[in-house]
Amino acid sequence: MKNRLIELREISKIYHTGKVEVEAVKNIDLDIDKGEYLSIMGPSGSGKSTLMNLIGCLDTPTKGSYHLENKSVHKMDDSELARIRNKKIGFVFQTFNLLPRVTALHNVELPLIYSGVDSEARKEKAADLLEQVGLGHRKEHHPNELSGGQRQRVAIARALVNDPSLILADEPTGNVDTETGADIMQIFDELNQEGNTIILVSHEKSIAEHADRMVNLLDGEIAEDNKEIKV
Amino acid sequence: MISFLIKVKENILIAYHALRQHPLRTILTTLGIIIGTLTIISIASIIQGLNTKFEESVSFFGARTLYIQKYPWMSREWFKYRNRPDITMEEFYFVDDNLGQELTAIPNISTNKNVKYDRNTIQGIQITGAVKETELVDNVTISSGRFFTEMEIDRNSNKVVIGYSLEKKLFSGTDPVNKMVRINDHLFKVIGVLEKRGQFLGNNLDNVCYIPMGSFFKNFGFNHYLSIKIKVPKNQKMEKAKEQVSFMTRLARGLRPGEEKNFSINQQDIINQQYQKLTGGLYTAAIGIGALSLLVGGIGIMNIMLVSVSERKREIGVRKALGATKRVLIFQFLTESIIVCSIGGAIAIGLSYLAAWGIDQATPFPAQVPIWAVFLGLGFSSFVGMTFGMYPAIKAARLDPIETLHYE
Repeated sequence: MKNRLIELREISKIYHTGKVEVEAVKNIDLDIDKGEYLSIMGPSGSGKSTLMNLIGCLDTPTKGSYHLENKSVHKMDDSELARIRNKKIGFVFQTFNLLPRVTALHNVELPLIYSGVDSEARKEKAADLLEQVGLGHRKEHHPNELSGGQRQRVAIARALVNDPSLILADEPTGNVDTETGADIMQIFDELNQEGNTIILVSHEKSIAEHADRMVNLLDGEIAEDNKEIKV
Repeated sequence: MISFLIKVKENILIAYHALRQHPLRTILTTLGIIIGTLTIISIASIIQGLNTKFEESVSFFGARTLYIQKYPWMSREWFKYRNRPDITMEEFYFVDDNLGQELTAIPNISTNKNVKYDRNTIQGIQITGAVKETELVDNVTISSGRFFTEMEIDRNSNKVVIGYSLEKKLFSGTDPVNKMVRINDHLFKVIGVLEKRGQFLGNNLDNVCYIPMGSFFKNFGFNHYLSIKIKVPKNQKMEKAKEQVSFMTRLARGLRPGEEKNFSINQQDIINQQYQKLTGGLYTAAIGIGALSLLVGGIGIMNIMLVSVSERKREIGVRKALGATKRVLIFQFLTESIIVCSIGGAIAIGLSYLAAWGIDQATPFPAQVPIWAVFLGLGFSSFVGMTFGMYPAIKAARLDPIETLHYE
């Protein structure tokens, strides 16, 4: 239990679209330990995006409990959730989601701005991380001056800058070519080896297989979890 | 406090980047604010200019001067008073003899005449009959030459003290003292020149001449409207002096106690009140026009900020995902609208200095931009930015990050 990072108990999410109720996630139980490398797979409509949003604290469950590092996330209000996203979770998106009008460096600085780190420390830390992902020479470039792979590496640096407990990557190779995708995945592999907890969300098996543990979703329920097999 | 300032700085930078994307749009958005702020500051400038001029002129006219006259000032019902008797010199002598040392009374009489020197003529000069005490009561200040001696006044000499603009226009640079001028074909010798008095509400206070009282009657007859001017010293209460003067005038006219008085005692106060009314009207107009254009400007701001919010849905989603709280986002978008409005305000302040200069040059209105109006303008425009930026900012903060992250 000491190593437990995430504990989901009977988590459900119900959307109301007009008069129709859609239960996107049904009674899911899921435990994730620190340092795990886990992928969530499933066809579209399986509820993997919803599950990712719930784990990423972008959304709150309709039913059930969610503990992140023993904190009751399901009871938190908007600003507490914003704090958790800021401090505990590093997001990497399929479409990068960099701010187009500011430099790579400033993009990486963003989470630090919201945690109130002063300008100098921020710049130092952000520059450091850009070096680590191999973009030390691109600090002052704007996103549109970077290739897809470089943009995703900026996004990874941004995800790491606040030393999060969890890196949440949603189809991180979806918008880059295969070769670049392999480079990106190598970064994730290395990050995991350094001890970071990583959750990959993907519908591509080849990507999901980078993870040690694969969770397959179908119709909002866990159809397969190979954790037991591995252990 | 320091972290708050850092946040403000961050927000200003964000706003700068956002606004720089659409410079034309930013400027167009501020137009309403510019017009509103400009209106407010310009009218405040005119009023300020008038105030300064008014105070100067009032002190020249003498705020502490009482006038015994047939008609009250600023009354529209002059016909009610037309049957009152005119003020006579006999009444002046009676009042003057009995008022005591404190109060100085002079007869006040004037007429408009043409003044000629050499081949130059200047029309419509106010010729005023003077006694020795006129120098004191009218606060006469001489720039060259001198005022009349007692003997000159007693002898009804044809001598004249001319106003500043006569020196300028008739003598163009040469010394007028000891020159002979013609006032309606009567020859007068110039013995002094008045200091510049300036203009007031379109009246040129330098288009004047003083001649001895007796000389006035001798040359221009007795058929002029006479009044009595009384100077009240600083250590005397105006109300008390007014009562005293009223009493003496009643006595001079032989009015019984309780009988309605058939004269008026006027004082600068009435002009003051009238003036307050005028500027009050101007202020109301300024506030009305200004508020209206600021409202229009504010709606413009709100419109553009709403556009900006929906254009930047994805940015807002990203910021939320990375930990921006609602408060932070409201703060960010409010900063942006306040900055847009303040840019408008600043442009308006620049333009208002230009406008004040133009008004000063082109119209009889003196105008000067008062510092408080600058702050008022800036305050007003940022207030508009804050008020009309609030709704878009709240809208931005309420956006759902899940939807906005996938917004293309």
